[in-house]
Amino acid sequence: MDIIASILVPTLIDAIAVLGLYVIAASGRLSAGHAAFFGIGGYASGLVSVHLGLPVPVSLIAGVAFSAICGALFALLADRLTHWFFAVATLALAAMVLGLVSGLDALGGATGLYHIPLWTGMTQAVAGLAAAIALVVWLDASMLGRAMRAVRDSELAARSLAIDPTRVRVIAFAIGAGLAGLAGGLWAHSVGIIKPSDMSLEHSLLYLVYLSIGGVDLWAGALFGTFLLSLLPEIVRFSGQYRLAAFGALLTLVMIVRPAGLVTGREIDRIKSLFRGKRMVDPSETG
Amino acid sequence: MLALEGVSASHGNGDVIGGISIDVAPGEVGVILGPNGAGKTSTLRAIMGYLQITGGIIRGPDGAMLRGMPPHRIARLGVAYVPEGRGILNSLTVRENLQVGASARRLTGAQTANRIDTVLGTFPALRERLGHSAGLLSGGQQQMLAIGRALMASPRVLLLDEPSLGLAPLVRREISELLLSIKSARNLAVLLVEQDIRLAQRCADFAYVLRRGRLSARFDRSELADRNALRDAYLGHGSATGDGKPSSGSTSWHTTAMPPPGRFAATANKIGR
Amino acid sequence: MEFAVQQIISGLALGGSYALVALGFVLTFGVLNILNIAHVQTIMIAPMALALLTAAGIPAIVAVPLGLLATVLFGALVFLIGLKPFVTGRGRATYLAPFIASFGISLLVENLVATLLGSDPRSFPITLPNDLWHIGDFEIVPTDMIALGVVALTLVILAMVVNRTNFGRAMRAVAENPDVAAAQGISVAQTVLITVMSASLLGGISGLLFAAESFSEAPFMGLDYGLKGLVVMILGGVTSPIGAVVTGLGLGVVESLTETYVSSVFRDVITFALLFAALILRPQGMFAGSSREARP
Repeated sequence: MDIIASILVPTLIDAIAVLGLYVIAASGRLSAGHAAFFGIGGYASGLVSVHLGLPVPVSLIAGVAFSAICGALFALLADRLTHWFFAVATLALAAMVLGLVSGLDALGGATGLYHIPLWTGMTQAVAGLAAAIALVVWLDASMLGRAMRAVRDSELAARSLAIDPTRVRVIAFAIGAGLAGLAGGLWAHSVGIIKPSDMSLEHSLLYLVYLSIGGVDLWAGALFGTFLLSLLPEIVRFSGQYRLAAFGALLTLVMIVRPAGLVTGREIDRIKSLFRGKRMVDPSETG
Repeated sequence: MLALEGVSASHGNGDVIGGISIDVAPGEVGVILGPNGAGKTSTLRAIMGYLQITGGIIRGPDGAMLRGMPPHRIARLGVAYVPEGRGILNSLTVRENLQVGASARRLTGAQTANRIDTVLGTFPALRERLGHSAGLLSGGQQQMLAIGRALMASPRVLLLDEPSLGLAPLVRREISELLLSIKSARNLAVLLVEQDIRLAQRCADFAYVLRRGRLSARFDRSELADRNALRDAYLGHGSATGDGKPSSGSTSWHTTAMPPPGRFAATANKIGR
Repeated sequence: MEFAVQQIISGLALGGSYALVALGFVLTFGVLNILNIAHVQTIMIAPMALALLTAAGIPAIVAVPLGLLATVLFGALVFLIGLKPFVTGRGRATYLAPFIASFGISLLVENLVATLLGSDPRSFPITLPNDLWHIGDFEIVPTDMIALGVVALTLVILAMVVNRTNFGRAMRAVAENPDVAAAQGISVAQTVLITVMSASLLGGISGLLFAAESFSEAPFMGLDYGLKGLVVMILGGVTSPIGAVVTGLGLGVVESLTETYVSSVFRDVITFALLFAALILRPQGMFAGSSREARP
């Protein structure tokens, strides 16, 4: 059971972060440095619980809030950049945060922050993911969610509907960063350590891989991608650089053949119809 | 020479033109007239290889079959195209625009310079502006540059899309005179799309009227003065005069994705590029 | 004072390499309108190839051109396999798909090389003159001067090709309006391919210079240097080659001075912080040329 937990818990946590990436993508942005917010949340939560002695749930919230605020600030700053260059800016942010954290001895330097109180078990991870899913489901159905998609599809059209694209994108990015911060906090309290390599560029790219292959249009795609690509290699015993190289190749292939990812609206409809039993017959279809 | 027989073409989502048959011999100027959205620009673009040809035959200089070729190869075969809006490369100078026009023929630096000199003979106003950025020219000068650039490659066929668009009446007159002189001097087959009927009346040897993607009528030069016949052709009443290719009923090409049965069934293969 | 000048010269040499990287991006983005992240790997290929070839006993004077050739072929391959499928008009669900694909290719390449050659950094295989040259009161590091010379030569040749040759004009025509360029008889596909290969050559040269300057190279060096090149590209105005050169040189000098006088640990942090500061102050980049940034 423990072995299963040790594989599942990180995957559940990663899924939370990838859901954050999904929210950002829903507003039309690509965040290629997402692990930076994972790290920010983890360090913040770790510091608060270690130095201020507050109970873990409180420090987790602090981590989420801090991540979200950082995300909002960054998104505001970089808003004018078009999509590709926004992504480059996220890379630059990630590199900057990484460099900052590695260099500050107060944060433990390259070795990281130790002695963080343990708290995250299987239950907590599942609860965290459930909360994240609930948030995303609510978001999808809400006015904000619709505004996000409007901005993604056409900034011009969104403006004509009196939607402010900047505001929407900043909020979406903040939510995404917050979710990543939650994931980072959960992680810090899962192993008791948070280090700079936890927010490496590799990590950020992995999140991108999970979402892009899983399916960028639906939150189910984020989950699917994370679970598939985290657990499958464990079963097949793919390790280290082979795994990353394979992911790279797979990502390219998926983008060429099926750019929206594996899980799209059609798959969901098919699954739904399976549950409903017989397919509803379209009245316009005759004999 | 340029000959289209029963040509249909699509952007990828159903045909936008169909059953187009046009014939322009060297030394002739043909005009395509018609209301907005009739498919006039699409016809030129189809000839130039920008659209997917779904049916028919296109014959170019020396009888070359142009269907299925990409634009740059068609250009190298001697077909020059001046798009709507002129297509001036603003980031290049006037001279560089002209140099680029010679890309269809592999000329040396000296040969290109000679060509430029020759072309400037027809467009003397450009000579003083050779080093200027092309974006700084006036509309009329840009049109001259566009045509001059098209002539750099010594083409046999010249396609022009609304050369008079946005230009003053005086300039329009210059353009029609220009077309008259180059068609005979260089033995060019010229096919232009125009909204300005008077320009057409001045320099065309014949005119085709397009309506909803199909040929509505063909008029000889002498028949072009008949305003009533023209209006009828534009609005789709009655049959064509002279050599006409009659309009085939009221099929609206923009709403029908499938071509009418029979005509294109055999030529259903799509041309990839 | 002399020491500062030395640092500035060092900075110019470094910045020149950043400029080459940025120019590679400017060129490809100009003709393709896709930002190709995988391009950063052209920085890594040449030094790695060089290491392999010299280890096999091939003299440096042959190995360097071979390494650059390998880089150019690599660039062509990446374009044909990873980018061209998107350009020939397939329906695009996300127009970011080619961009994401380029991340995939980048990931694949660097991890493949790391798997095959090991991920540890290794030292630059060519020994360069180490003794400082004395010019008047100044002590100059020869590597810096060589780098500056290479950069200058490359920029001059590039400028000549772009401004005075048929190909250069074709490239600029395609960058501005591919349809019109095609109507002039220019093969857009061929022009793009050659542009990509030229950009790869620039990347390869810069990679060799980076490796020489820091005496080391590693499979993951591509994105590290490449990211700075991208930053230079953005700050320089995205489509402006002159912007890329000036910003690159400027960044190199700033980095060099920061490392010496402020902090070497936080050098990169400060570099990126400056990027964000510049974004606040002048969001369109230092040289607002044509604002044709994205064509979905």
